[in-house]
Amino acid sequence: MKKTFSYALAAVMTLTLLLSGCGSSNKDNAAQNNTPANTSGSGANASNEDIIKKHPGGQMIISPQLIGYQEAEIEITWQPNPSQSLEATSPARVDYLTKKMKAWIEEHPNVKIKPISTSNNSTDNMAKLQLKLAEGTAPDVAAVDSFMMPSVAEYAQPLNDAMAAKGISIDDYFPFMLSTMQPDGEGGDILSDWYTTDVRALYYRKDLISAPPATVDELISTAKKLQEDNPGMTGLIYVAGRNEGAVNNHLGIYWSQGFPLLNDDNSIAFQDGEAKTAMLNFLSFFENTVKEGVTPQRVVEFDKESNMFGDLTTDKYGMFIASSSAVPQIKEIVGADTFEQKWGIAELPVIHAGDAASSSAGGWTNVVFATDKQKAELAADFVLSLYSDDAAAGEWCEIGGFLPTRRSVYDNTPAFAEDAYAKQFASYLDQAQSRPPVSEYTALSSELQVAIGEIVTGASTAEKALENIIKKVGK
Amino acid sequence: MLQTAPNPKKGVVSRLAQGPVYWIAPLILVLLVTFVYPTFEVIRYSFTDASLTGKDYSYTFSSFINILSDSQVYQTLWTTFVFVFFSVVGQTVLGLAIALAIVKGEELKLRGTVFVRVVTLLAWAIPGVIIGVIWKIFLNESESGILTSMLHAVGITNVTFLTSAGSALVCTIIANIWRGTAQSMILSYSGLKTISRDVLEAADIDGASSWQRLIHVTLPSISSVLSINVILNIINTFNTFDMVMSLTSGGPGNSTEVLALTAYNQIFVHMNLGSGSAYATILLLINGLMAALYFWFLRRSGEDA
Repeated sequence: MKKTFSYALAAVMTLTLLLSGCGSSNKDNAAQNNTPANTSGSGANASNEDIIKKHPGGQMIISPQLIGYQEAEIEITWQPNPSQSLEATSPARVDYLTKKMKAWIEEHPNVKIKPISTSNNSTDNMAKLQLKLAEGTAPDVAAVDSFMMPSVAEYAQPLNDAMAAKGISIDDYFPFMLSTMQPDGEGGDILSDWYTTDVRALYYRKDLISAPPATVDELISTAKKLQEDNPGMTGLIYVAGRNEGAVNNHLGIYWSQGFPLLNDDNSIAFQDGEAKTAMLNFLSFFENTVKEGVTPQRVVEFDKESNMFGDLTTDKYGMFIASSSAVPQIKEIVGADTFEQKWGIAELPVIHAGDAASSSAGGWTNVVFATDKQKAELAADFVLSLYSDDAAAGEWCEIGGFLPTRRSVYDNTPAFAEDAYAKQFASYLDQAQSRPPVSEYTALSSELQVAIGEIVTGASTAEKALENIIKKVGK
Repeated sequence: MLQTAPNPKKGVVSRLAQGPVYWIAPLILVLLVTFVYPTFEVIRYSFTDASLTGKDYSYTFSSFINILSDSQVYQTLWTTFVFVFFSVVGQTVLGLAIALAIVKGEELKLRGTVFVRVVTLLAWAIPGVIIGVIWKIFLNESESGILTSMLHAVGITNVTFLTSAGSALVCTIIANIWRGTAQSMILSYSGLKTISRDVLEAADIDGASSWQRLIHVTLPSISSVLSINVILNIINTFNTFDMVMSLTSGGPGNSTEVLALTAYNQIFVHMNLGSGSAYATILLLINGLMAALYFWFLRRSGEDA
């Protein structure tokens, strides 16, 4: 029996080593991955151009499984954000992407794009992408949540040449994006292209509220008055379900007090002193809105913004906090005219009157991982042509309901230049911040999500919740 | 007459050919690759500080030490045990009740017993994530929520389902009972079908009431099946995370966070492979214990038969 067990254990160990070995060899293969046209030296460019333009014959396919000609010699793997790919549920997005992809393949017939299908769970997708990067099996180019980009930066290939070729200047982007796109600062390599963004704001019924509240106290008193004047109306709703939105949508309220979430060494910045008071003020926002009766406990049901939208069509809500992407979505539900008549937007309220408002901005970046020079160039050109260059950015953001990431796109695209909401959002982006792109923030955010849920449901007070967070994340 | 010495090599091969080795070798290989290897890796990672994002890690007991020193873990364990206990009781009792009703219906040759079986099994066929979404829609507390509007219609207002800690756990248990009753019903039904009619008729002749017949004849006759049923329900419920994830995400606060969800969050949200694997290993130990009990009952039921 002992002998049999020993043999079984030996077999498992051998298999483990063998399989681990397979993982390592993949990595080596990825590093040595070459295309047929990967040549260097003089005259290579002309030859590369010829190979790219060579028509492989057959029929062009634009599908979620393959983009290009089946027989094309150069293959690029692409992991898009599913909702921004041919798998999107919006026909307008699919039509736009199909048009753009067709045009790109016509220019590059000997290149085929192999999209990698993923789920809609971006947290899962990003975790799996990081695993692939560590194993050396990452796609040539991928859409990466801007918040996660710094964690994959060590594998990212420079986009400087590709962006220059498209006439895209780094100076055109909003300030908060620069540290993510160009981690080494001015003059350093551009490691990602931030191609869509959003920003958080207070939405208010402009037909009922003459001037939007600027502070949290004003917000509560305005909501109370709304409820008194309009029986059956709920003053304010927001996302408080256990998800990132519960934290991210409201972080601007904390940031407006001038304190960061994390110190330079990634320890939490609000363990004591004024920063601790600032965090207490932030958590008290949730406590007070519920305690004062302007926000129902039911907001813990909203773990996504879209969960609020059904309620918002009932005309029984005075204000809500959401990202800029709520505008096109609610317009689609209630109609653009109705939305524009009723809903105005304002900056997130601040704790102390006179403080500068702040907001959290997010969005998606494209990152090239291909180590093969030609593949990297082609991959960059492909995604920039789809989403980012002057011929694409405005139309893509308009169709997708995103905010453009470059100032010039706001000026040059009528849909944004003439849109009052877009202009306001653009001004908020100037003051916006992005969440700290480190794992310590993820741990902190999880605890904040739990705390917000407990505060809103009355299971904890803001003070107790804060002490609990410090105890757990501060160690 | 010359005698040829037996070829020892040929002997081994032919002995192996006569045995089950060749037959079960493919299965062993598949099990090694798809079960033993991943399990081994999870246990190995639980003794590391590995992150999903980093390449380097070292061997340490820190994951287990951190887990055991975190008071939240005991809260999660308590929530998990409450969730498992009431889910298993509910699933087993309801499954048995439906199975008894179906068997009785068949005895009385009532129409619709097959329909009842199919309807009950439907819940089993639906993925956990979808069940979570269905119950979330059902328990929505807005005026358009299905249950809320029904309660409003009869004058009941201000009822909370998923928006307070206590009621959220109760609702999660109810949703899980709904999900797991089908398996219990199938097992109980198969057990009930094995009871000899003679035994039941003898109890009738002796003047036993329906209740006495259930307690003193039916249940003892299917006790082994019920034990196995309970253990399978315990294992399934301990592993439940998909339904909880889509129904409550573990909230509000931590009120519905179960051990399997914590393991998932540690790995895929916090990218903490070492810690998540340690949680998974604890879950594996609990399930291993349950599996051992399962086989013990299985063997005992075999001996009884």
